[in-house]
Amino acid sequence: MNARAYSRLVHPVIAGLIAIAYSFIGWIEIRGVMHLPASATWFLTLAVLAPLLCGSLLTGGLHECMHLSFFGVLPGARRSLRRWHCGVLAGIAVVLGGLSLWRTHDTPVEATIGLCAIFLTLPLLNRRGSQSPRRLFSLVGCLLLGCALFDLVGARLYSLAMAAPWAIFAAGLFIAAFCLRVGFDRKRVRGRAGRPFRSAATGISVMFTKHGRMMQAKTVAEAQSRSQRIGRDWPLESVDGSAWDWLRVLLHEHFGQQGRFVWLAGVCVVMAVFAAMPVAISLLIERLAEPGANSAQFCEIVATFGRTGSFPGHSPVMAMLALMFLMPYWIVLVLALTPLPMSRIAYPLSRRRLAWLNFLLSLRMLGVGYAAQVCGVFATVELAGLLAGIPFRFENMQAQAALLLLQLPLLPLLRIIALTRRRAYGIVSLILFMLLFVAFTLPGTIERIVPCLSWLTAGGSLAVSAFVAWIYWRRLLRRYSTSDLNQPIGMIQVLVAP
Amino acid sequence: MPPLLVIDYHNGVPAYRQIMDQVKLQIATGMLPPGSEMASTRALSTELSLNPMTISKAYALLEHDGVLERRRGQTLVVRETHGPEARVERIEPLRTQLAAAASLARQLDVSSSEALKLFRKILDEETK
Amino acid sequence: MNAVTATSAAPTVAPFAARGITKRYGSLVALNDVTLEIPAGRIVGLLGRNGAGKTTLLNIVSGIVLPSAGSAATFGVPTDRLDTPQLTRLGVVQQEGGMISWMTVRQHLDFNASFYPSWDRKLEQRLLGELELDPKRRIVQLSTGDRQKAGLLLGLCHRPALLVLDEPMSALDPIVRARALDLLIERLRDDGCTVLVSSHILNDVEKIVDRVICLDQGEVVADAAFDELQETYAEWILSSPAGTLPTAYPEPFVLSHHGDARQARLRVRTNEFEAAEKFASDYGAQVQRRPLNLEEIFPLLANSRKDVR
Repeated sequence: MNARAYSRLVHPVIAGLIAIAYSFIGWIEIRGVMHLPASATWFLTLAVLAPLLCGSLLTGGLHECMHLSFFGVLPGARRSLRRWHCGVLAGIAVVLGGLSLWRTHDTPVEATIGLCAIFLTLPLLNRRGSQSPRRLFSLVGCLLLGCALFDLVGARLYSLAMAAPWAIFAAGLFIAAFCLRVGFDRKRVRGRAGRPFRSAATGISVMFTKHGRMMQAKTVAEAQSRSQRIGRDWPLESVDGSAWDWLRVLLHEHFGQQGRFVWLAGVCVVMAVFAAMPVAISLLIERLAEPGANSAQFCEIVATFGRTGSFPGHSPVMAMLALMFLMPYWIVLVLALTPLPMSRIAYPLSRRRLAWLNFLLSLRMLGVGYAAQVCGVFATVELAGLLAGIPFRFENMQAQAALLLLQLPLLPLLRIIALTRRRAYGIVSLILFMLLFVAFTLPGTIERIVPCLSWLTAGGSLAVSAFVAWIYWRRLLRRYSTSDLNQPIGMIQVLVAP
Repeated sequence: MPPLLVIDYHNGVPAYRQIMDQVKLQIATGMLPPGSEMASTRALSTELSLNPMTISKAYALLEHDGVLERRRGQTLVVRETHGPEARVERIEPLRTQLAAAASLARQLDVSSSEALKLFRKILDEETK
Repeated sequence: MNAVTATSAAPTVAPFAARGITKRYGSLVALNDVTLEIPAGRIVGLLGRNGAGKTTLLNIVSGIVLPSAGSAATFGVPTDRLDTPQLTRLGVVQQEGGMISWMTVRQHLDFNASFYPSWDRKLEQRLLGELELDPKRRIVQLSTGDRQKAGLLLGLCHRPALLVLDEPMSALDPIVRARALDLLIERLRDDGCTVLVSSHILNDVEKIVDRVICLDQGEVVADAAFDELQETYAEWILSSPAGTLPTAYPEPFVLSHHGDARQARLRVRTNEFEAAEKFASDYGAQVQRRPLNLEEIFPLLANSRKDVR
């Protein structure tokens, strides 16, 4: 075991980025929601949050290795892993302690390091049980519970740390030693073998790549084999050859395992939640800026912005609210990132027919996602209006509609872009999104855009959209006519090729 | 019921040739008397798990060699043969075996008279 | 009346014909200028080492993969324009996958039956019994062998005129495999179905094929009737008590040899009837001719290109 092998296991760069990002969010949360003084916030972030994040991410990589079926055969692996892990964790504890000393001059370092030791080693105890989706729910539950607990005892923890730093240091080392011993215990490690586990960092490191897709497919297959649910029976006796029937065939292949409306309902719920997220974040930011802000006023701001696109004054909240209207774009981007579901069996259809059916399928997918998002945005804005006591007026809906229609021509365009190389697409879409976001948040942009859109009108926007959809159809047809059917559709320079 | 045919798929000898040789042997030994009907290609294919093309080829060649003939439309029967031709054909399987034995005799450096004496002795033992 | 002779009597379009097809994946050349024709009503064995291009060729036949150059036509229709009338007469059994994993076997059979009008329910029932497959199990939970059985069922039950199989039996136990081979012969016998099967299990191939196509590094190195192949390749055992055998044999038809001056084993490829005797007299030795089975012929086929160079 050397540094290179260890870093390959734990993905230090990704783990580091995630830890920093979420620590930052946590810091904002503690500062804004719990209203703790700066020193306490830094202490809690660096002594509890950051080590917990670092610990779980690094341990994830470690456990992924331990859960390999042949781990027990590797000579001296357990011991050398233990040595390396202890060393790295100790280093992180020292770094965090140093950071804490730098940011807050009065917090005792010993307490920080003590708590770091505890939370860095605590994830070692995680048995990483079955990988079923049920575990995700329990994880979210634990998270919420943890947040609530944190809210309650956070302040008290800080005062305790100030009062008895050396006690905490001793307790921390003791608990850390215990966790390390249990975590690397020979018998426990042997119990892990054979139960495959994949860490979050690994998942992220292969995102957007072919290998990542394969791993995802494998996970899906494993989940399918575990699930006892029998999908729907195929109701048709024979397919009469119409496009409608064949579309039903394809939909049955890709979505027949779940109930007909379960998928739809799931999509709607997820999309609506995503639409409401910017509003929630804005609320958070507002609380950060002015702890005593009135929520009714906030709702009024949201409702006014959502309906008319105008904003009284300029504050960071507006930037966040603009996000609300970009969320459909963002979600559609993500949807367009996923390749068209590949048909596993070779249907007795000509290539042209297949192209047409897949075109309809992709429009359906994007359309449903987009519609769900739009409904989510509408619902959020109207709910805010309801809470603020502003009556509902139909004309206001048109401003919202105009803002959302702005994104309609992008739909098929994104699909076309998705036909190119995946990784490039991910980066391009991110840049596009950031540019759009910046444009939206510049003062006066929205007020200028909305009147312009009024002359474009819904009809014009739809016409542009239809034209782009037509281009997409031509490209898709050409793709299906000239390429192999067993490759996921991609790899042509659609926009650039003649 | 025509007598059984046994095909060895792995000795490298083409299956059609094995069928031909065995049919000829069966005719020569009298197991398949003249005039008897051959199994249809389909039936033989089912029984032997053999590709029907192989059987067709064997039958066609046997017909061409004059061992089988087509009668009453589609049925193949063993041809009635008399005279010196029959004798020559019957002796054919024996010739192959004797050629191998002769080659072995040469390798072992056994003289012709010794080999013939041995062959006569074995023949006498067989007829007892 | 024998269905086989009926098919060969009527003039039919070849089930598959390829002319100069080449397939490139980036810089990798999977098939290089391949020209062949699959005759109707035959069982054709497609042999080759791993990576020789068998799967690519089979995918081209079924229209899944399009050649980078050259023309390929299935049932007389170019493979990029195959439509429902041709595809319903085509049966494909892929090596891995080609099935929807969440369905049960019964659901998948019903699903496929709905878009193949010639689906034979009685045949399906019979095959489920013969291949010993439980229709209630979900495909994702099947073992590899059972999955291959399901693949066979899905490819055969609609009585296709051309059956394309890619390593269809590698995981089946010997008893079920024997039944599956019988099944292929039965398809030919009853429907005049053309079968194109690629397999590494040469013992199985030997039992059923009447034509063999061998690929090596993307090129066709053999395309002949199986009988012809068996009669062309042989092993000659030379023995010369006087020790007159040479150390090397310059004749082009000698593909490999090993032995010493007194005894040698040669692997040869020749159609000449008297070649053995002539050879023996040339070297003053006795020759014994031994036929080779497919496992022994195969390395001579697959490496023949190297020897030519």
